[in-house]
Amino acid sequence: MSLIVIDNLQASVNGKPILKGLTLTIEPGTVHAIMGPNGSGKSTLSHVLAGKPGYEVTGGSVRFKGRDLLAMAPEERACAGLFLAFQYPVEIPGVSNMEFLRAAAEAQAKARGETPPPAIDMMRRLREIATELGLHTDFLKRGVNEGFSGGEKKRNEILQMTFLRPALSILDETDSGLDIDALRIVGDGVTRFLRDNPTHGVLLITHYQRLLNHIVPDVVHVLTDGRIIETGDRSLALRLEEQGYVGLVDRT
Amino acid sequence: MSAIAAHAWLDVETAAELRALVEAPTAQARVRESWKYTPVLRGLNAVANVAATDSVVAGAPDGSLRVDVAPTASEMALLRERACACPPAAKLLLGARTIDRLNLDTSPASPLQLRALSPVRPLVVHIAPTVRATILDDVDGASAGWLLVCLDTAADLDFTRVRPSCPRDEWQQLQFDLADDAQLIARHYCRGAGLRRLDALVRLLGRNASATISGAWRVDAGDRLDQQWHVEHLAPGTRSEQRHHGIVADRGHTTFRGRIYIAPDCPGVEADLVNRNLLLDPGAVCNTKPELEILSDDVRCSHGATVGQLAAESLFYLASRGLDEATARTLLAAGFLNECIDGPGAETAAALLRTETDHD
Repeated sequence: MSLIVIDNLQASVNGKPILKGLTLTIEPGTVHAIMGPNGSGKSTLSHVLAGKPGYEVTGGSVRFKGRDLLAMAPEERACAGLFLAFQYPVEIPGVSNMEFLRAAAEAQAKARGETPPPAIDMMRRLREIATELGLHTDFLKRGVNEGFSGGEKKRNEILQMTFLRPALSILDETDSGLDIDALRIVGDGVTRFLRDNPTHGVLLITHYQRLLNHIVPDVVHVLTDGRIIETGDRSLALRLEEQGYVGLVDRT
Repeated sequence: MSAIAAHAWLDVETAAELRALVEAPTAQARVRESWKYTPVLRGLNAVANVAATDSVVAGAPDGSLRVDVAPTASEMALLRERACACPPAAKLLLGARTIDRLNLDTSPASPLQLRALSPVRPLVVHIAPTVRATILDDVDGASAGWLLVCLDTAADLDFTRVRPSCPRDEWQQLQFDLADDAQLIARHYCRGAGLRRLDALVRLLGRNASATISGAWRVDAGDRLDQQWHVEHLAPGTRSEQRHHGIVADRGHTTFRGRIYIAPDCPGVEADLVNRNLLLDPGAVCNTKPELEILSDDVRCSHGATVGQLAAESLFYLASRGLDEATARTLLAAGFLNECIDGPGAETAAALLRTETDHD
């Protein structure tokens, strides 16, 4: 079964149409990249899929692992295995990363009718992942994203993904605000996760080709004005980098 | 008022002044301002004329605690000055014959625990020069209580008060006087009560004295909490930093007044005050009023207060990780208070503030 099937999705923000008939299917174990200029609807797509309030779906459908995704509450989507790495992760002072992730893991296990792993195992696993991502383990005791640098916040999103092991991850401009070293660490983190979870799907949303040097996509889509106008393999991203979106939009 | 007898240890003029304050409590402007959101008569009634019990301090060095003793002239002057500004304090002092006194002449080896605070006698604590002490005050409810702590030169006190919810009305007076270079950390963690009224005064009397004050509270189920925090900078180079976070849920009602006063000729003072409030339910009420009164040049001050609700962005972030709304709200509320919670009573305080009120 396909991981997610997005069919002719249309969505508005404050009455203004942003997504105008977007169609996309992601199979387990594949990495899709969506590239597009500012204002093309990339972040709207990620928010609509995650269920952020303030977006109105005006048409189309989304099936996630066979279920009607749009009928589910945001937390149900997460428990079903959808993960959004935020472009701008939210700071939650006073709640430690450890406490937050433990609560999330317990909530997800409960929703799936599973027994959550013992706290001690969770802590050990979190320390392992933090170390892999080059984060000091003290990081786990700090408030969620509180006072983190831009790069630390993005690494924290990857840490959460690795720990929660979703079926599909949407990485919303995870490369923005990262320097070259941080980009490599994040890229390696995602690649390692994909290696360890071979049926996992990824939807990478990005402006730039450079993240795709680290996380190699199977399929690349170009999104402009709320629609996918071209789909290809990795060479499409390289071509975009050369010609820019304008060249591509003009040609189509 | 019939229960209040005239005492020989109060001079006639003082007794008359205090009685006037108790009998016509709102006649003075400063009393009106201070009791704007809470009926002063309710505060007065909270000072019950009950039989005297002794203050109990666990871990106090042998002989350091004396109960039921006559105040010295200087103690009397301090108590009188304070009583003249606050009707319940005036009433308590009229009814009190004596005080309890704790003298800390050497640094206690381990934290002291205040187990009981006399409801009818002020407890006066003297901390000698350079003595370091930790006091955990988790007395389980007293209808009245007056704690006055004098920190001598370079004394150092780490003080934490934790108060669970209680259905009764309660009035509490808390005062810290700091001499040169004295340092105070004061933490105040509480739930609401029928009425819980706190009149707190921190006086930075000596050069370079400093106070770090944090507060966290959660009030719900129709309880009330009224806190008046006065920090007075009365010497150059003194510093104070305050952070108070409060949650009001259900039909809870809170009042917070944070006043910073900087006396003339006190350059180099630094004073900061933050009070943030979260209202969780439509019936919750919060009054907050930060105040600055600066009579000196060359000082740095900041003060601010906010009243808001849980941020939609934060709730969505938690939802996107699988937490349902109730769990997300609980976690965010606890985090909001945790920002102000640390020190020896932190775990007790965090647990106390996490749950819903159980007395109704």
